[in-house]
Amino acid sequence: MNRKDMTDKELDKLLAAASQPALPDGFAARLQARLEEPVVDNVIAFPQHSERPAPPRRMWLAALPLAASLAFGIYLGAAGTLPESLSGLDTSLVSDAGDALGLGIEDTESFLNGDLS
Amino acid sequence: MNAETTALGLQGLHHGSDADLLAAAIRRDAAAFGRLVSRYHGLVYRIVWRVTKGSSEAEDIAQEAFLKLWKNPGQVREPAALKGWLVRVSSNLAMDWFRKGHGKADAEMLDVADERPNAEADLNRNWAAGRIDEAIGLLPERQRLALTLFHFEHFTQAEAADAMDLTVDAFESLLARARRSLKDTLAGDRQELLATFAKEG
Repeated sequence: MNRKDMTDKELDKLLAAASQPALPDGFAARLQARLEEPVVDNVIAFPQHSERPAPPRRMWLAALPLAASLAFGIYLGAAGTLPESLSGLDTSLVSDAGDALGLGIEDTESFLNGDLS
Repeated sequence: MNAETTALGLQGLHHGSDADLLAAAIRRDAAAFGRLVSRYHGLVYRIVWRVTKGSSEAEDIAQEAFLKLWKNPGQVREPAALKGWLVRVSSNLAMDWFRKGHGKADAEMLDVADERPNAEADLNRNWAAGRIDEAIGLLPERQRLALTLFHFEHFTQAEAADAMDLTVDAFESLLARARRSLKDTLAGDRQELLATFAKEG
């Protein structure tokens, strides 16, 4: 049997027989009680700064070598000196790269004139 | 006047238009609000009951709709359309509740006591009504709501479409799909169902 066998009129008749609930006794009284309940504030306050726990002492210990390193770097920069170990750095790679391109600020004019030799 | 009607100050139940009562409710007039509750609590409860498939929590959900109204009556932009607003809010609350999976665990679904004296006829009728309720319960929520508004609450198609934020064409289509599904679901029991109600005339 398929749905074509059931007419609209038959379906309407069946729907008329579906359950219809009655309003529960005391509905209005219980609603009244809920209306009188105090409104609960859902806003949660941010914690105050004073409540934040102090950082552990180990954090300060870790920061000491970093601070010392920074101070030493500033001192070297201000004195204009480098330790011996850094003076022998090979900077030829950088200058070679510039030579390979054949370009420098002094070559700008010839570059603009199309002379790339 | 019984205790129920005096609890919310429901004197003069049928006095005042929705717009008048809503305007009074905005001024925190509890008696006017009580009249609105009295006017619509049956409708709101039945819609929630149907959408939640007869859940025992239907009352709480229906009350939630009225609590929303009381907390801020001014949110109803068109006071004359309060009925549609209540349908929309209560059905949304019911659908939200249902989608959270509450409906599956509710053991009291669609259990309506029939207190008529004829035991055998009652048995048949309860079976038939239960079968129809079950078929309605299998519909998707929006189809169930459309069917409820049109068939059980006797809204016009235009009123129901408005309450569901649909065009009339879309509502007709939704209702037609609901009816087709019901015919499919009930086809197997068609003869027994019709025979049950034929005996009652």
